[in-house]
Amino acid sequence: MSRLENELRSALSREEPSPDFTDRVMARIQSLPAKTEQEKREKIGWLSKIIAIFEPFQLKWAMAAALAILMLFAGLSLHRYRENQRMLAEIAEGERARQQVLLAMKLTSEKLNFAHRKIQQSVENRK
Amino acid sequence: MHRPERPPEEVEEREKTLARAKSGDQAAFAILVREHQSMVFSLAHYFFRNRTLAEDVAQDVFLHLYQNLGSIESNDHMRYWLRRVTGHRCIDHARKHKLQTVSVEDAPEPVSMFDMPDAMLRTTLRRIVATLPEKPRLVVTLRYQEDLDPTEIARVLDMPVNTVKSHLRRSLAILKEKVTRCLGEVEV
Repeated sequence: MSRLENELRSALSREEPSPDFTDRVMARIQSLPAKTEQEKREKIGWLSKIIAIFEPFQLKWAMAAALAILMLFAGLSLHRYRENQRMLAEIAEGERARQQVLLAMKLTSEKLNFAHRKIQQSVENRK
Repeated sequence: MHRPERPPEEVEEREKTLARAKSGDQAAFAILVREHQSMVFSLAHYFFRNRTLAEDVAQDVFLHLYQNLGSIESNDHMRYWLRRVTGHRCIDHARKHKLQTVSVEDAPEPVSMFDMPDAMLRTTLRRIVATLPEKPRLVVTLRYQEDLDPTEIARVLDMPVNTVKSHLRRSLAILKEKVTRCLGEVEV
């Protein structure tokens, strides 16, 4: 071991604090109980926290939060319901339009067949 | 460095004191404070080079110990816990308050012409240790004040053993160089 290391050991040897150090620590501890209780309360486990929610004061806030969540959920559901209804109406409208087109094509086809038959008859009569 | 073993009766007596303190006996806690105050205070003192600040930090550490006595398993665990909390408190305090380390070149001349060379060297060493960056300063203090080996220091300060070794190596080189510069021909 080098002289430097030996000297460091001597230089950094333990020192005592002021003679009244312990008394001051104990005095601070004496003034601690109220704070300690509060800290203990802060350190309660998760189960106690859940139970604490059901204390009257906490319950009020819990209910307000639940109500807010419920309202948000209801609003979102209503919005989605309306979107759904709008889409269904659009689909029904499309279907109605398709039926009309088919009907028109059917009528046109019948008229064309009728005209074709008439032409055939007049050709045969001339012969 | 040899660490003397404590006789079994003394170890038993200390464990009993700890048990009494844990059960709420404040007189027993005062005994624990008296027993460990020099360790906690010195760690903070060599870190801050300020007695008042070191005492404040040491008091906070013991208050924290009082509030966490339930988690202390033995006297060895308590010593480890105190070193660890003191180290972290010192670093936190220094960072929070952005404490400036004094460069050894800027520090006032510490040595009286009438001091013995060894005393001169020790005073100078303390001043130079105080100029090291925070973590190396703590590493050096734990190594030479508390006689901990690099593995123990790594556990206390939550850092890899190789980092501790490198801090020690570099710090010793800096100390040697600065001491030589300050004291000239003194052989270190």
